Amino acid sequence: MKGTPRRRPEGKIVESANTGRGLFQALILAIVLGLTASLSSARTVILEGQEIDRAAGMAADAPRMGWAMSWLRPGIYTTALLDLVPGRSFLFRFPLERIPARQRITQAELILPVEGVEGTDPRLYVWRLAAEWGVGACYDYRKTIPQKIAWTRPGAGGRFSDRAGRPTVVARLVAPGLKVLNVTEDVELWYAGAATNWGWLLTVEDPGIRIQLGAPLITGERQWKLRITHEPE
Amino acid sequence: MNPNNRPRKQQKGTPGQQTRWWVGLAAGLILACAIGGVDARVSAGVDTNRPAAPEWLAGYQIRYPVFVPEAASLTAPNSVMVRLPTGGWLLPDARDVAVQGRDGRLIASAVLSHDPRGFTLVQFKRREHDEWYWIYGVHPNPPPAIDAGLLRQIQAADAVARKALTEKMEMQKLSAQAAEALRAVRDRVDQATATSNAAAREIASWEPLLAERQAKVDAAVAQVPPADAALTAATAAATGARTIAQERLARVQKLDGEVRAASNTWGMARSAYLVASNALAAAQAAVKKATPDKIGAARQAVQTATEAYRTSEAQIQTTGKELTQRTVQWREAEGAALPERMEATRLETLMETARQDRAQKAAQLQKAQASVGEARTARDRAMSLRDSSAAILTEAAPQLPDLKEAFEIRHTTAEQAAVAAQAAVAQHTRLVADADPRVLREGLTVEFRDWAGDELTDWATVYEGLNRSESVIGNGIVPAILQNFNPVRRSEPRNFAASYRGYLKITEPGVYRFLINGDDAAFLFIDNYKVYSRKGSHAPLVGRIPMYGVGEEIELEAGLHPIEVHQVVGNTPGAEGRCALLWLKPGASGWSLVPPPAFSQSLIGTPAGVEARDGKPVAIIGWGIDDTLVSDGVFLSLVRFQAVGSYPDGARLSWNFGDGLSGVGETPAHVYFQTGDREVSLASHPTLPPFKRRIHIWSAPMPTSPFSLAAVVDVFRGWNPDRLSRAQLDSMFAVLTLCGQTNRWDLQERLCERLLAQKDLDSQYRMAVQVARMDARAAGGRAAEALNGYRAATNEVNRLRIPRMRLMMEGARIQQVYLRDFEAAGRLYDAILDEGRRIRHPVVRAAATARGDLYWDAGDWAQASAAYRAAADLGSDAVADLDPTGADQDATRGALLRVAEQALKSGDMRQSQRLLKRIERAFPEQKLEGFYRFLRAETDRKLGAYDDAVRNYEAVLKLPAWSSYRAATLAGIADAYARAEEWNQALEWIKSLETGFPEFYAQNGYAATATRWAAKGVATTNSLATRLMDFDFDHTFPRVNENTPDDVMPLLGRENPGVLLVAIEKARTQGLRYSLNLPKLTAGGRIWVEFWYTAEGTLAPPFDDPTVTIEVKGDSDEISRNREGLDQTYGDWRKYAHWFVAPHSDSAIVVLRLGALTRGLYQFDDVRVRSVSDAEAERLRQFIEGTDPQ
Repeated sequence: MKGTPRRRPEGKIVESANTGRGLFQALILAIVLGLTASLSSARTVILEGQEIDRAAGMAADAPRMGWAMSWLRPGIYTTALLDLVPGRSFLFRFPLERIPARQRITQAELILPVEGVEGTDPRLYVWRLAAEWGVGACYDYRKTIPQKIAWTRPGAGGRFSDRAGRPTVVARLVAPGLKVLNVTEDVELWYAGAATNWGWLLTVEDPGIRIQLGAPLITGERQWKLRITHEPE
Repeated sequence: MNPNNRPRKQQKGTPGQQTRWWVGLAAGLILACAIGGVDARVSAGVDTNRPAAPEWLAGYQIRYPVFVPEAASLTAPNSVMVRLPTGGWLLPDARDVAVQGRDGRLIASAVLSHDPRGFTLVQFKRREHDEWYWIYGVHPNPPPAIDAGLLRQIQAADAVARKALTEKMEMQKLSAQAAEALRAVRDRVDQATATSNAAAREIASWEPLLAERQAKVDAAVAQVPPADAALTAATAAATGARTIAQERLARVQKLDGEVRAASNTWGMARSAYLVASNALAAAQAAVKKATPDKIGAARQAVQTATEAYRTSEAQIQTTGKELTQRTVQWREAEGAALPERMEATRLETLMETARQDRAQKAAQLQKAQASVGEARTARDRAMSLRDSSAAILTEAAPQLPDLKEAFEIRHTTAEQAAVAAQAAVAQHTRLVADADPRVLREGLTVEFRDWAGDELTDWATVYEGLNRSESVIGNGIVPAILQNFNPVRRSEPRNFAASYRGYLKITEPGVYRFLINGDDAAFLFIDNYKVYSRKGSHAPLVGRIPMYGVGEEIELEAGLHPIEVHQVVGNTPGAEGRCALLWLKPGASGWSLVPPPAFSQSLIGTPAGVEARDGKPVAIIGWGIDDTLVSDGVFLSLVRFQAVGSYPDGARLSWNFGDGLSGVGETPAHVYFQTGDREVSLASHPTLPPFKRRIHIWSAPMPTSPFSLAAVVDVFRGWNPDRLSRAQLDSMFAVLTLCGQTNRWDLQERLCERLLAQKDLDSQYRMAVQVARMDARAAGGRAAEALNGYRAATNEVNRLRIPRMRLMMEGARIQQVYLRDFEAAGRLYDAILDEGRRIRHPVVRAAATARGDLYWDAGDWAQASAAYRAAADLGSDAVADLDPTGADQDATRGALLRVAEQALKSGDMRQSQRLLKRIERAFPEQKLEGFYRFLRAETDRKLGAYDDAVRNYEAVLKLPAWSSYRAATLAGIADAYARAEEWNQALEWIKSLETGFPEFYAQNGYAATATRWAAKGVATTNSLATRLMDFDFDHTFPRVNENTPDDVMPLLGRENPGVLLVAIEKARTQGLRYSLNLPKLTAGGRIWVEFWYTAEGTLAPPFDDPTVTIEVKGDSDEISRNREGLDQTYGDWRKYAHWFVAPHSDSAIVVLRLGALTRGLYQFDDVRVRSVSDAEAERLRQFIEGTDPQ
């Protein structure tokens, strides 16, 4: 076809007619501009720890407490540090309303300040929660107000009913630090409306492992973040 | 034989056969009941044939023939207790129970405890040596057991007896208090007397010692003055001598100064002389050289110098003389002073000696005085003790006679009250002798209830709570008051009440101290009198319990005393449900458990069947937990049930498992997904209500069977998915997708269809279900249909990239594995890569790796290599680190590879496989290296993934750089085929090994291996028999001499293929040994041993648990051995199970020993020994580890 570039066997692009040169250049320019516009349209939203709109700590040894994160002495816990061991887990939810409409999620990263790790090959599990939970959430109940509703299995243990059937991320941690976990799949699900955003559950499943995280509401460099990159659909 | 998989023929046989089996079952249900002071013996010679049944009692719908094993040989006890399974059939108060003898006459009976969803404890008087009785039940309007007039008399007598007993106990308590007061004062007096005597002895011993020490002081005092005088004299002499010596010394020193001055003067004169001498010489020299005009002056100078010289010469002589004179004087003075100085030194030495002597004498005196002081203090202390003891004695000793008298009075009163009470009780006993077997005062029972009370603060509150706690959850006939947990709810040891009732047999009268050691509140009543209270929430006492300060005392006369213990465990964290009755017997030096012989025991009857009046089918429920499996948060308990009774057709038995599901059959199995109580019912009779039974599901601490997953899938297959709750569907889905069982595909597909019909399915879950359905269809040979499902599912998740990519991965897998359309699979992988490069998600990397695998399988190594390397740059599942100070330094590939190799060498295949997979995820290009492939192949082979193993071995063979692994690789391939029982393939590969590497072949003995494999290949049609061996005990169990009490007596089960009954007469002295041969073992691998036994009677075992020892011996004396407690699972039937390493030989012997069996009848059923293949073990491991193993 006249004016259409064609590829020779050696791969060079030639013009089939001089009259097509201007058109071709315009086409290339348009493609480049389009690509540039597309790339530059990617935006990042950073949700910080203070934006977490609900959180609870669950501990098997304090099944009716919603803040049992760091054991001090029998019956006494604090939330100054999230001290995750098997049987003790943390629930939290970032609202996603700050992501503009009609976007495509290209990347979502959960940034967590890991303050300490103990044990052989420590792994932090991030689960997508599959059930509504709220005020009074604890190991036995997913909410207690206005009425008590129990988890299918204590500690949000019910696969598919309390939490997703498999973990979103299993993060193998070697040393403390600010860790970036890929949670694109969950954020995409929530944003697309394919699942309700009930937030995440952080657990330690392997015996003998302890992972300590900084509290989610602290500010400064070591604060929790959810970094979402999106682009127009 | 496990009733789950083999119906009991005898249940369908004659009533006599049914009865015998029934006796066996029930005997096991009440094992511990025969423990006690009775001298029971069941011999093989006993005629256990049931006599002809008497006529039915009018109005009763069912009856249980009851066999009393020890009745033929024992003359005592006088009553029989039976734990009767009546669940749901009787009236709420169980008054519709009657007992009949073989002659048809009614026998007085009493209901001791009634659990509407379990068992009813019935007691009745025995008829001499009759072994058979019939207990009736289910009567809408049962006649009164006792005439009304007699009942009034009995009630009146009972009231009198109770009052008399209460008075007696009050008197005995007062007597015990008096005894305690007397003991306290007597202890005080005894202690004071002992102290006084000891003090007197001490004083007596100190007095002579004191005098002796005082004498030493006096002697020491006498030695001090002479020493003082000697010191004074020596001091004076030394002082005088020192003065003289000092004067002499002063003169010497003065002369010394003069000598020094003279010496200085002489020295100056000598210097002047030398100067003058030099000047003269110079002047004389100047004269010689002087010119005539200057000679005069020179001579004059000589003159002057000469004069000076002479003057200095004179001075030197004068000063020299002076020096000499002074020196002579100094020497004289020095010589004169020396003797004085020596004398002064001598005298000073004498003075020092005298001073030391004086100090020594003073020290001796001081020591002697101190010694006297010590003795005096000790004597005074002893005297003080003597005096204080004397004061105590003066105060307390006079009390003794009064206390003694008071005690004797109270003791006598108590004795009189006891006599009166005995008379009153005897009167009551006479009246009820033929009406109530409880007057025989035999047997110990326990009843468990849900605790419905509030506080545990005092008995009144607890009593009120017990009255509210009407829900009986279990009961039993027990040998002693001892529980280490809540026996009816093992997983929930809180919020329950236990009430023990029985009779204490006191043979030695005296004051006893009792203590209930357990969780929370407990109260002890003896003769209806509250002897001991423990209020509130407590943990049990641990360690050595002090003799006094805990527990309460009571005086007890010899004889039988009604005893009750009520224990309540509240909602106390950490409670374990423990309870033990301890006592401090008169004269004992420590606490001990009140042993079974201290309780009056009854005979124990065993229900031997159940019959309906109309002759129609009737059955009750037996059950046991077969296995517990937990994976990924999903709990499932495989439970076996069996219908026990009279029924011609088990298929008509209808079950309701209490979780919304039902079933039919005589031995159904069921799966529960949650722990806790379930009410199971069995409908067998057309008009009777279903038999109901409460069962408790808990996580039994038992090794998980590699065969349970297949059994679970079989159970699932019997379920109707439409009747399952959402939670059950979810759990079932989780189990099916994890279990790896090849018999699950059709079921999985049906389940997926059911789940996909759910409207509220989470989209990710829905996608997982879609994938599972595709998987099921493809595995079921309908790959094309699976792909259709894939396309439909893709449309559902079109907007979600990662779920869509996961789905595409599954589609590619189906294309690749089932349809062998590698191009289509490749296109799908490429599509994922095209779309997913920017997402950086692990699924993209997995797609790239899979793409590389496709190239590799097609022989395109270059493309494969490129794909693997590209995969390394795509989305990793490693965690990124923003913190420059705390960067994660993940293990390097080389380190991981070395660790994986070590794990492989040490036999930890699972860890090796995990590490190798981790390497593959982190470093996909590692798949290009032969060593990695070899390790993967070795690991896969030993874990039963034979196809993967062969694929990886073949990859090694394709890599020329790794030719040194070729021989081991060939051997590995051959072994993989052999393990998969593909003998021909195995032999072909071993042949290629022989051809290619004859030396390696010979060194490693593969010739013998090849021979063995060839033989196996011939016998391959019998492979099932090779791997599955069921043995019933009585197939080879010997009939032993009845006169050998330490051996086993196959009694009622001898005609029953599948059950062995063992009568154990002496606790812990008897056991049994059983051995069986295992032919045709598969090399390597492991062996699974399990057997069933009845164990309800081990409730509250007072002694050691029974133990089981199993040895697996190979041909070369290679032994695997395990010894542990027998008690593992829970239910009417219990299971023991354990893994063993299979010996490296073709056959082995399994030896099973049971020991420390407590007294009673045991029923053992079905020893099963199975060889476990690598794949079976691996499937179980994968299930337990779940979707995301380490």
